[in-house]
Amino acid sequence: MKNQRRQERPTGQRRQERSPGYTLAETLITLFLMAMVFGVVAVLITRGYRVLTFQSQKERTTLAAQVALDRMTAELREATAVDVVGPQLTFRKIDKSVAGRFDLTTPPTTYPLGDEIAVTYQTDGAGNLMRLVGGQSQLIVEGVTGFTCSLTGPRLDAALSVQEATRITRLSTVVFLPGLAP
Amino acid sequence: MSRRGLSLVETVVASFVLIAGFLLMTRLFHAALQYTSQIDSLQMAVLLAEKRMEEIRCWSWQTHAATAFSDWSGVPNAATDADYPGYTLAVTTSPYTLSSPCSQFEALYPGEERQMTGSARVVTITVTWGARTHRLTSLVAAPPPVLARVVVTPTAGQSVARDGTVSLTARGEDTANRPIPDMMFSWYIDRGGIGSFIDPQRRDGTQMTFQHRVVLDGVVGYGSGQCQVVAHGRCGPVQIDGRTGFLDLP
Repeated sequence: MKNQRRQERPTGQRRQERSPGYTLAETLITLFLMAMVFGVVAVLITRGYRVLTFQSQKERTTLAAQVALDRMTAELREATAVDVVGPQLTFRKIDKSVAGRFDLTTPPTTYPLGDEIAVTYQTDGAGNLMRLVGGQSQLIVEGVTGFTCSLTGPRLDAALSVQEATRITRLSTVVFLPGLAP
Repeated sequence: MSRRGLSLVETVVASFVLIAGFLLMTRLFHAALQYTSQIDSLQMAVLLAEKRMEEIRCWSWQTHAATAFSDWSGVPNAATDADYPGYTLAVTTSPYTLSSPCSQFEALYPGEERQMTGSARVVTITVTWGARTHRLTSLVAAPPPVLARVVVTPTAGQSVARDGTVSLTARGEDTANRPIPDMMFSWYIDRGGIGSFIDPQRRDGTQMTFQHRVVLDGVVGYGSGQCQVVAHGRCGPVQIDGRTGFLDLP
């Protein structure tokens, strides 16, 4: 039966005799489609990568500035005296490294002057916000284009401007300091 | 073994599957970017809300040192901040009742909890950008008053007959003679008060009843001579006593 059917379909036999694979036209069409697809995808990925790089740089700068402000404001809450001179913020706080400072057998209402340390935040002219304490200088954040502070009663306003990719971003905050000596 | 290659249709279908895969990958890539941007915006909103909360604390500290803590009409509530464009702020405040020492202890005394109604206010700051919001809620405490004196009434001395009672009250005042809210007092009888006792009318100690009569083991006794009733008030680090006038016990 099988042989009879093959004999009845001579056209199919002729097709099987042809070499398998694409014709030239099929190959060209396929290559054209593939090129279009990869072209579009390449454009999308390239643009996405550019945006991602920009966003990453922007976020890193902003985050660094936020962390710097947070660090400064957290430390300011320990201040017993604050002095603002232009773009330089200096305050005094208790030196926690002094042994026995928090021995509660003596009420810690007043502290000897020697137990306090002075901390200064200022820019160094090269776009860096520095923290100066005990003769040492620490880098807090770089890319700073402006740093301003002002003190009104218990309210301290601080603003930090940073170069963020192609623009300057200004972050500002307020610190409530009820513990300052009147 | 078949030696047939792929047909055009099969190739096109495979290409579409490949395209769909690439598009999905690109979509995920963009979604990641979108979320990164949203996180960045949220961080800025948090910073802005904290800034406004600190402004309100400063304002309250300075304003309520001279005016009643219940007046919040001038609270800083500007809708925008020049350093944070694109964000909108809304400030709401409402009175808040604190229990002293804490609500769990005071729950043991239903109906007569020691409560402080004028010592704190709840402040909510809502930051809006686009279709998203961030809400920060915190309690703002009244500036600590400076206790200058404890006033106990009646201030004038008087005679208290046997079985007689005297209603006493106590309040604290600051240096400007303004009453200090939410103070609590403890009492004792000073100098020759044998034969009398005091009966607290309120758990916060602001009202007390003095009675010239005492019952010990069923035996009624009375005192003689003079005594004073003392209210001990504490406000922050300051502790001051207030006294009645001399009470004669005939």
